[in-house]
Amino acid sequence: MNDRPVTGPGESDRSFTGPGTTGRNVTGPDDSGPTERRPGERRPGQPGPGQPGVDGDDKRITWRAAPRLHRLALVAVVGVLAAVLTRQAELLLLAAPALAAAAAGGRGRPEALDARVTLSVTRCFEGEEVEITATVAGAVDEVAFQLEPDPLVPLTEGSPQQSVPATGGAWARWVVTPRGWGRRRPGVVTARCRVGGVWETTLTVRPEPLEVFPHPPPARASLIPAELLLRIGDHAATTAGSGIEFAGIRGYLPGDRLRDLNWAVTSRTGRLHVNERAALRATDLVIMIDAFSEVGPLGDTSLDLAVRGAAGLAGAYLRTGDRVGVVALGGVLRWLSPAPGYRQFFRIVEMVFGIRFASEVIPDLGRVPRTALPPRSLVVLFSPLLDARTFGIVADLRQRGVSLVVVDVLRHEPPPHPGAPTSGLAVRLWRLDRQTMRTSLGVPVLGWDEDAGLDGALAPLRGRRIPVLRP
Amino acid sequence: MIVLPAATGRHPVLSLAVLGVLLVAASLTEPLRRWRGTGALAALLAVLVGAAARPGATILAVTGLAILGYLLLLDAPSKPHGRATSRWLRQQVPVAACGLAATAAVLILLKVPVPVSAWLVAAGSGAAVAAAALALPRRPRERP
Repeated sequence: MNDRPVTGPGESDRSFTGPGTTGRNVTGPDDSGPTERRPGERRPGQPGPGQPGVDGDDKRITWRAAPRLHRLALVAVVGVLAAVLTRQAELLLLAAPALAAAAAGGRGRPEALDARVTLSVTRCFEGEEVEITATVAGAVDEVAFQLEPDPLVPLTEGSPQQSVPATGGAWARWVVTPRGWGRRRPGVVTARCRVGGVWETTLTVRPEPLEVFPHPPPARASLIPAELLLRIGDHAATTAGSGIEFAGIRGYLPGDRLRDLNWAVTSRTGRLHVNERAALRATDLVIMIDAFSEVGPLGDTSLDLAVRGAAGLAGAYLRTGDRVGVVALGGVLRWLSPAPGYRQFFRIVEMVFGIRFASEVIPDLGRVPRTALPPRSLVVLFSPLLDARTFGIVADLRQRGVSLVVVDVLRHEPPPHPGAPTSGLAVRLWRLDRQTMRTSLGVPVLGWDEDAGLDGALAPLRGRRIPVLRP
Repeated sequence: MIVLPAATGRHPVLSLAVLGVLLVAASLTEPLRRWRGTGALAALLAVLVGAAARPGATILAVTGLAILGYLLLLDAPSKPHGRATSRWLRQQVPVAACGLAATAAVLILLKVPVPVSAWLVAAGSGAAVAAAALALPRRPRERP
């Protein structure tokens, strides 16, 4: 079994055409040309090709007086007033330098500025670093950049506020590390540009959304349905075939290969015996994600865990050549038919991006086409088992006769209320109720503590065939 | 910018000067540095001390330039390091030169005896209004 993780964006396997290879070119203030570069190979401040950029609201620049101009004007006005009121022309000497400085500073205000924000990649996995580069091109003297990062895309390198003296342009760089999957903007960049110290304008630029793929936990394709498909795959079937898994010993029949002879049994019994090997068959895995309920802290909710588990399981089965599909249960029923290959992994993840959809609708599994839920497929449902609609779906799947495994992704129990003495008892009752409910589902229910890993959660069913348990 | 004119002034000016010095110190140190009003108040006090103390033209000229220098200093990089500081200093050179030229011009004009004339007052006022109209920022035109 190959435990190598699915090749993802930014990894060294160049066979995957991933992030950093598509997108429109961006020419920065000192861009040397449209040459292909990998993230990290660019010079800082130079938005390289292949990384998208976002133009700022640079079409109409509204300049306003900077604090320095206010101070200069205040000093000039007070000085002139003092000179006029006291009838002492010498007091103009106090106001004259400030007046001249205010007049001199406002020259050469540019009509337009070009503000851009580029990301080193447009797709990444959770926990990977993404470089944000903000550039302002134009005749400004100083640019104060400020990044307001998304709560789930925290800043890991660089100060949120960076003041940069500029000659023809300025840039700032930050490194963020997404902590939550989904399509999200890494933050909002504000660039306050100053000219001559007395005029300033503020440009706000929102980077393009970053597609953050869930970090797939290490997993192996250890769950096997009761019946495997007739396609050749990596799972040992119960029937004899030409695989590598030992299946049994039988007497020699004409046509058997001599290399299969079991010499120990043959010499002991005096008759020729050969080893039998199990056939290797493929399976179809359909992952169902319950998005009816989502509990837990931001970035570590039950849905986050479910999606990460789905990504890990999908990657594991796709590596073994199986076909994997996904069904999203969250009001509007959406599905992706099982298909093989690494591309399917990214198709699944991109479909899951839109899974957060609040609805009271009970999805009709009868509408799932046969191609999305093929017969003899293995169905793994990731669910916190909190919504009654989920139980109906489990019953429906049992009636349809599929090999079903439920992975319980609820990690956070309701906290006992410190003021109520019976709240601890209530939590215990809730726990017992859940235990009973899990047993009454009639299908294997595996609890998943993320710290133990997905493989650890699936360990109780490893090597066993998942039976079809009709109600 | 405060001590020089205050040294020639009387007791009330000295108390203003002490307050001004405290404000200057506060405006250059954290956390009051972040409040923009501190620097403006300190500069205002410096002008008032200069006006109240009534020193000579030379001291007033030096005070005016010192106020300008102080106002420029308020926008200096908070964490000075080699290249940034030198670049910032280079940017201030034209502004400081303009201030110096204006001071020199006023000093020269003060030496020239000008007769009292209503025409001169009217011309000066008109020039001031025209300069203000030219210098003030305009609202950008609406583009279709």
